[in-house]
Amino acid sequence: MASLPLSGIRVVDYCWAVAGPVTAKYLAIMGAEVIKIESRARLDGGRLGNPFIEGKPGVNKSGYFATHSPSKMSIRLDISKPEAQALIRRLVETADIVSESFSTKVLREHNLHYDEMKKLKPDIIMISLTMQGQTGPFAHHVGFGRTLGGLAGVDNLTGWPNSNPAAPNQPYTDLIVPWFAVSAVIAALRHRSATGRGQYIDMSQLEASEHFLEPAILDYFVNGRSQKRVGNRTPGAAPHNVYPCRGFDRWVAIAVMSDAMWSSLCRAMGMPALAADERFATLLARKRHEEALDRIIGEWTQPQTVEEVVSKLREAGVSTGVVARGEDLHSDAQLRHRGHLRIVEHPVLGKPTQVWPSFRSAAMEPEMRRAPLLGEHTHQVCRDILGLPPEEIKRLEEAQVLF
Amino acid sequence: MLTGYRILDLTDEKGPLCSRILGDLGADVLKVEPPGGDRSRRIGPFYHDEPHPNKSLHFWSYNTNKLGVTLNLATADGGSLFKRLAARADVVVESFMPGQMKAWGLDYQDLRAVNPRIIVTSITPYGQTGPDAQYDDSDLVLMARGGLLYMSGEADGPPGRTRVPQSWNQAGAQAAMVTTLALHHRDRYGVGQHIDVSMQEAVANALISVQSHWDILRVNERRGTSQVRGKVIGRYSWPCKDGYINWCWWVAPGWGQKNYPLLEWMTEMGMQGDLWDQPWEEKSTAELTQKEVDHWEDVFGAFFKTQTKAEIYKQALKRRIMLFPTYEPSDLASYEQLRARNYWQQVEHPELGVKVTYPGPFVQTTSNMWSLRRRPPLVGEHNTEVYEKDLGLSKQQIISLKSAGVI
Repeated sequence: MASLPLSGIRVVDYCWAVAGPVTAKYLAIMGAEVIKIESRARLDGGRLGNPFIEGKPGVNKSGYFATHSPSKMSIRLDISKPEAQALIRRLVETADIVSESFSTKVLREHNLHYDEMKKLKPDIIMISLTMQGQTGPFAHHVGFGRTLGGLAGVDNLTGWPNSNPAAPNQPYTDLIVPWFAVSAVIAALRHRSATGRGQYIDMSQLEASEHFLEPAILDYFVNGRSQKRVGNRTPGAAPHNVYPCRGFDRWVAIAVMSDAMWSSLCRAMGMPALAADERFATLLARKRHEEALDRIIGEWTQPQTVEEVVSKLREAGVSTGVVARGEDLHSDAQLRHRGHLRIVEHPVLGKPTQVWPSFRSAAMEPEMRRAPLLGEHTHQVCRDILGLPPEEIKRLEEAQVLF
Repeated sequence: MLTGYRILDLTDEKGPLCSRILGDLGADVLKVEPPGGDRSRRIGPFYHDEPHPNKSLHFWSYNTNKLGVTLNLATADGGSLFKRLAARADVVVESFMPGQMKAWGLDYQDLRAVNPRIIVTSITPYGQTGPDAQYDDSDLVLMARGGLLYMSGEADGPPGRTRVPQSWNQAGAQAAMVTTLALHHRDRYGVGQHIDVSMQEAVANALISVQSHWDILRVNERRGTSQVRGKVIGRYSWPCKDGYINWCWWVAPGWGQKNYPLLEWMTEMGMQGDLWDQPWEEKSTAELTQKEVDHWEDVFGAFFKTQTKAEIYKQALKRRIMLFPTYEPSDLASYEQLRARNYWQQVEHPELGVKVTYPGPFVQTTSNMWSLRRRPPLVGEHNTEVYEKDLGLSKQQIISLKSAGVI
């Protein structure tokens, strides 16, 4: 088997919630040894994230945690205890990377901030992932991704003009950050090989996310226009929307990118005369009468299943697709072909499927092991990495340092 | 840092953020466009609303730090010039439909023959193989088929997308991540590779628990500005006097007290109602009824409506209320935190005689890995520099190639 890019790299990880653990996940599945520091005294909120097997919460029952923490090791350490901090410092001495996603003051309180880490391991690379960065007047303000999307501007640019801002109903910006973060960490590893020096990486969720909205930001600075949400409309295409289909909350997306595609759509709908209708014959005409256009198409799609509509329109060469629910992602033929969801067995969850990353390469296949149970590797790490004798491990457990 | 790596960027709108990220971290990026320019130069908005290939703000956004040449890859000369460029490059990023590069004799195998260490990153709507590989679908359809569109918009209305196409950026950022990993891999083991990125799957990787909800509970997570919390539904988005804010209440031992700073402010304003009498710390979310939640939300909602988003955020910062306003680009432009961190970058556009403000570092590091060094290239701006100086073509040869539509 080909070796993974990060094999031999050790990450001491005290990330929790979303952005941090997802960053550490990518490092782990690409070969790094990620030691996740957890504690019963302060659980990673991810372990308490829905969905739970059989719907009942439990630290090892979360499908959310299983999805975002594969291939990691877990050690239980109560970082509020000085002895635990000492053990972490010893781990850091052996590590290449430290990752954390607490609010700005927590690590300082526990003496685990970069200046301290650097003393232990001069070439350590440390990454902090926060809402708004380590500096600036509002760095201390705590929050989470579902609400930060509002500050970043995603909410105001998502959904329909006549209703609430309505970004993806999940912490979206939390998932954007790791892609930037991993690139930065790899660049830092290269910097270390070239110069022998480590560094501190300050990731602000807000600042990374702005790049996903950059054209709207430039529109403001250049043209003074503060963009707002416009639903599914776009200047260069019509129709360009979602349309209701038979069943509860079923929708089909249709994007007509040219006049020729418009004629094809009309024929597929059994309304060839519509193509020549002067209200719709050209892009400009269709933009002018977009509401009427959407109504006609919606009336045609409504009585049909989304699968019927997609099949007819694809046959006709119209760009279309099901507005996929979770269920549809599991049955999508293309995603199945790629193996987007693969079973990775888990002692509590049984045979859950694991989400695969978006890339495939014969030379670099991710190593996807199940997520660890809480503290599953505590003894292993204490014994093999820290070199603690069994009686010392027992004492630390009794003292609730390993907790 | 990625200084010294040479990246050839052949992407259109599907994924130019990939090489932008590599360039921001120090790599040299050369954008190779078809004669006349990349089609993403047609995407608005435009500088002063003047549609022109050199004035697309969309193109600007994702092509800073790149040099630009034009080259017709469909011609024999174009192909051989590209191979000469690829022989000296570390990475090629491309977003043609599967099979196109092969048809030109420029796919991974062809390029590997001239550069055994090359990394080729391909970004396509559905990936290189499979039943849908040849469908060239747009952002709307990819957002739909990747599952994020279903999660966007109000619960009682149709799914509604994000105005700036997100699938292109999701694919681009994920491609950057795997490309940096591949470079690291190559530097360790000496071998290049071909990477196949699917945009649909990139969108699905922007979901947090949609797949697992179906997998484990056979439940389809849904869009909206409220979330299911136990047996009740709780709001996230609240209208205020001049816009919206995002906030949610907390109930549970150890969590309920997070509501108190807001209650204190509401009390000072005489609008607390009976909220202090509620079981914030006594109950768990699972024990709530929708009736009591609706009542709280009426009282909170009435209060937020009396305040502006600026005032609410000011109080939130002062009192440590876990809340954010929903900003527009205009709010972000004047946001104190971003200014204090010197986020905004002034970039010279000498062709227009102006400085343009761009979003800044996606990461701040002690070794200053991130930098914005140059504005996006004009169409064919560096043809002379690259073809004449780097590849050693004569002026006469360049004229020939230009007349033949190769460059």
